[in-house]
Amino acid sequence: MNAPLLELREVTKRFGGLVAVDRLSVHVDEGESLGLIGPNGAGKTTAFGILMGEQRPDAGRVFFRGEDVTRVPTHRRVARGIARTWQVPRPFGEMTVLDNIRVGMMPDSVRRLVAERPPEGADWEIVRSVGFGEREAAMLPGQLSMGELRKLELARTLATDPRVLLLDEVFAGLTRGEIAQLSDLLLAERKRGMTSIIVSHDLRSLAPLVDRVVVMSFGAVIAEGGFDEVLASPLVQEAYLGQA
Amino acid sequence: MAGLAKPLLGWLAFGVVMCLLPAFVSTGTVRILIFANFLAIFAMSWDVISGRTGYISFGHPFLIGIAAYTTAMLTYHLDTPLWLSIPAGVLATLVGGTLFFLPALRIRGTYFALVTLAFMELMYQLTQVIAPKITGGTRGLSGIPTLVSGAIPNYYLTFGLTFAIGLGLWFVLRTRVGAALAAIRMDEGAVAASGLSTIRLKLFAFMTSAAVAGIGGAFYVHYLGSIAPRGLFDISFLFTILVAALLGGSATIAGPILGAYFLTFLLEYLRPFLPGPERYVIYGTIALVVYVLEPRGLHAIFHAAFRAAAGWLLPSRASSGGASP
Repeated sequence: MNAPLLELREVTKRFGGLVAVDRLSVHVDEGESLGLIGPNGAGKTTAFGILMGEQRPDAGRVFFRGEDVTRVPTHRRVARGIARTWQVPRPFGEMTVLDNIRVGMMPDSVRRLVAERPPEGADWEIVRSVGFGEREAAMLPGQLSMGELRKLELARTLATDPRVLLLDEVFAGLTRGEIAQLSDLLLAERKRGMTSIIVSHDLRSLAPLVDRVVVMSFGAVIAEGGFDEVLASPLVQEAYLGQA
Repeated sequence: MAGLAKPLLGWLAFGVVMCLLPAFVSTGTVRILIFANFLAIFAMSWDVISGRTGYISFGHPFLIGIAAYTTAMLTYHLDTPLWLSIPAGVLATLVGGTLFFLPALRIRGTYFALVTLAFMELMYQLTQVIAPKITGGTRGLSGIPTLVSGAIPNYYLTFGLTFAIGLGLWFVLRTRVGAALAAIRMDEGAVAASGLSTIRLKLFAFMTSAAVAGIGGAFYVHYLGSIAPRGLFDISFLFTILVAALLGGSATIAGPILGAYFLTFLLEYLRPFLPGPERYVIYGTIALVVYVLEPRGLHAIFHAAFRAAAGWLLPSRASSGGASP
């Protein structure tokens, strides 16, 4: 049996007295789309931070294709194929959309950055793949709507040539129309075989995008399985709605 | 190469004008220009770290001082030839630059700025306390050999350095590495999440900055012929470097050069009216006004004026842009 593409194994992360992630074990298989849901403060974003190497776990391990990457820094994880977007988009504010995307395509070598010319055409392919045109490519992030900012983040993430996408609150702040556009993009990526872990509070929009759902509460997994089955779980309903 | 033609023409014009300048100005003005050239080198050095990556350095005199003291002590005590002592000074600055870089691995923003300030203060104290016989203590060292004598040769030497450093930095930073450093200033975490080693990029910026500061510091001391800790590790010297870069336009090459020339002449022309440190209030006010009016500095103002003039003279060509240095 193949090892999962990406896996958190018994991971714990504390911030002072707060246990943000508590012996969390989650995995995603190659080509799978996993929904990671849970109420605010459940530890989903912390789990993303640990998967990306932005935060060190206090205990537990992170595996990518069966290899322990717990101590591998963020940029090397990106080189292996792990990439993320953020709950609040983090574009490079003084760069155009095109230049933002080009950062994602840069080689991780100062010598190559200085000596080599950027590959021609590949940047525009990514610009167009998320539905941007020349007008948007020349715009600054400050001129974009939230939907366009999320597309920009997705584009910059795709520019790193990822194997697995970690999408944090991907539909937050979007109109129904923007959600539909972004869902189409994510479905297209899924069809191409992209593995993803998607965090979203918008369960209705998330449902058609995922094969499986993991529910977190207080840093731990409380339910796991198919979308409808998991949402029907009394534990999940209690976590979301509180005890009656 | 088409995109290179315009800025290279700009560099050529700058070089030609500055080379011809001594023929039209007084020796006194040439001497002011020599200081402006040094300030331009220091401001460019500061800008590589602070303007590009956003790591505000309050300790640049530390880097300048390492090279200056190393070459001064080597020549003063050991009669080391300048061709050896100056590279040794630059090399020592690179080592110092590594120390300077270490805090940037863990902290940024105000904390980083304060730590770098501590580096400068530490150097100030060390030069006086540790082996004052070698460093010259509070009085420093005088009688250090100069490279060339006379205003004009010194002007061409310092301008040559300024021009070569400026052009070299422009060639390097106009590539994708410049964009990557700028991205660090905007969001370092997002740079790492784009697959780039921010440590490596910052190390490159710090080493480049240290090398430039080292070259400037080493040549500076061999122009002055003396060195004293009070003049070098001084807060007003530090702020003159900062203001030159910010006033001219940070994250550019032309900006710090422009700011350095403007500031040096401003300070010199204010001197007859305000001989004391009060003239720093005037230059601070002017810097503030320029910065509020156009945060991108004099470089942006000049660039806009140049484009407007070009549009007026050559209406058909005005719309075609081009990267300015």
